[in-house]
Amino acid sequence: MNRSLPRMPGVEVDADATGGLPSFERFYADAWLPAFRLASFLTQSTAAGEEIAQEALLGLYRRWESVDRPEAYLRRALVNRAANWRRHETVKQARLPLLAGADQFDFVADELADALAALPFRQRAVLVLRYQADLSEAEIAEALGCRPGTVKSLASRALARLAREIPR
Amino acid sequence: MNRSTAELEDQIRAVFADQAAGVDEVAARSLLAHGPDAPVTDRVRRQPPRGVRPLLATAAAVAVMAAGAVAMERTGDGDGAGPSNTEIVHTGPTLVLPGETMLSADPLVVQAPLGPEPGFDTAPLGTELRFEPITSLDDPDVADRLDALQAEVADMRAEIPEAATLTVPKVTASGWLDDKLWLTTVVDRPIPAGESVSDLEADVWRYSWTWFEDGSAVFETPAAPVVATSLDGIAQPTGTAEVFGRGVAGSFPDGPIYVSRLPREVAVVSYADADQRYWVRPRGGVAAFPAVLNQSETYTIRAYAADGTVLGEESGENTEANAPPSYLADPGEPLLSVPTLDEQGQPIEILGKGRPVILVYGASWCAPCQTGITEATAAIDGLGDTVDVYAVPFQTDGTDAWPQLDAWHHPRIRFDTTPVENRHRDGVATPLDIPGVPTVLVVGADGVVLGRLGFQNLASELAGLGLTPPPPTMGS
Repeated sequence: MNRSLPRMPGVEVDADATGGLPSFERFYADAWLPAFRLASFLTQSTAAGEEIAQEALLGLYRRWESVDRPEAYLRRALVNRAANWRRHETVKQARLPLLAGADQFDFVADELADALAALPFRQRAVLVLRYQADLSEAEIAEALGCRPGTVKSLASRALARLAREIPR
Repeated sequence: MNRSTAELEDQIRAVFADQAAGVDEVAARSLLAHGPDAPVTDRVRRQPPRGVRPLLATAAAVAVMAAGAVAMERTGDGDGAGPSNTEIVHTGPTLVLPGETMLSADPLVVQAPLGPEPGFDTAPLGTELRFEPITSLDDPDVADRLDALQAEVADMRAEIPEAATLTVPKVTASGWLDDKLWLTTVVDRPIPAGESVSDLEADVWRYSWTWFEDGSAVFETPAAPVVATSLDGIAQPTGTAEVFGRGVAGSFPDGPIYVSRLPREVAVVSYADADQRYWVRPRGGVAAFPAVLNQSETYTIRAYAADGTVLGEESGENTEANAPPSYLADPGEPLLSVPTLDEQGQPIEILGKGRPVILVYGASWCAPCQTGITEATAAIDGLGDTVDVYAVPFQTDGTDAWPQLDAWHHPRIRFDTTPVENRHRDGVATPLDIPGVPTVLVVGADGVVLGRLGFQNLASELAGLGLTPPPPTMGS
């Protein structure tokens, strides 16, 4: 079976010189940063992003031999974990005062960033996957587990909302 | 003045680019902190695996694969590549039901009577069973999802007060209407031919399937007959509606609708998120409501009458606040009834007699239930008439008869509860958070659950809950 090469955004990974499968080490080295980025954008938290990236890569590592398309697998895992994280975080935030981590990057820097952060998860995810990770519609649909049509509608709802909320 | 979409897109890209720089800085610091020379896989390997149950998973997978192999041989299909099920998985013609084998091309024709259990719906020979397309979530890997799910369940267990019900994501529903079997399945990943979606986490996934290239599936319940049940753990009416079927065609463009036919006039039944995936609770209500909170922003619930007429519709934001009220019950809230079922699967009322009630959950296939019963009955016997005691046996299948357990037959234990068929199991055990068998559920006279005990040291455990032997009476 031919395994397609990993294609995380902005990453090129070559097969081993032997022509065999890319090793997990190789994949990890190249995929970690994009995974960190994607998870951070999805959760709006670098701390959560790092943890989620690590967990998703761990999950991938456990099933490395059986996963045909690691990059798609990883993206999907990142989105799922970020969505789960977000749900728990919402619950947590309702109960706890927000404590900023020492090594956190503040995502909310201006009005548009604020509005992006406030979007419903899947709407934000579509924008992140489209404008930050530069994925195709099909890839976004795969990562979100929905139809391409849904990607379109999520994106247009997100853009419409941003346009409404952000003055020119 | 409307700004152009392109303008907005440029602004978004600019924001993301700014943020990416910040994220990358944090990433760089993290890499340095971990040591640039450390092998990257060490970082991964150091992570402890989550609390999975590898042995259980393996055993279940083997069992399912074996079942699948049999069915493949019998039907003569199932070779070749897996179904392309990135969007739609079709549940199809190949199916193994308890009791006997039914084989056919689609639509399935019943070649043997269905259902070995009394009260189980049956279909006449020659009946066509038609299956509907179902939507796949198409996750990368179900095991990965389950890892997350188990962590989620653990988190929720930690957060949810004792008396509340625990909600776990639901993946399937099935049921009978007239002579048709209906399955609703959300599969978490593409399933290659012959591979199983197995019972990796027994508390969560009670079903297994093996899918074949034509989209057909062997439906396997290792410890149960084909059942109509809910895995979501949301408190639900028990034994009220076991059947549901397809409702109004075309109301949801992308999938069938399932209608629960409760004894009441109205059945609340179908749930569709923004992607038109749907979840159904066989006994009415919405399945996995909290579980899909993170999948969608809106939901729609429709209520149908038995004839398919739409009686009402409710839509809203898909938030925790909108979850069914039973999702987070108040701790210490008295139980209105203990879900125990009579022969017809109807709940029987055992509370409200002014005495504590002890329910002893056991099963004939459970070795500790047999070895520990002598001590347990002695402890219970010591309480005399101060309590009512009921046995609540669980059956593994239609042939596994509870009365074979002679040791359980004790004058103090009432058996008017007939065995809980597995198709009722979730409705009976889950709302009370019965962790397994044997369990001694102690309910106070006021209906509040006092505790869930095992058989070991039962007498002292009961005493710890305030249940002590009555003082000796004169002349005894």
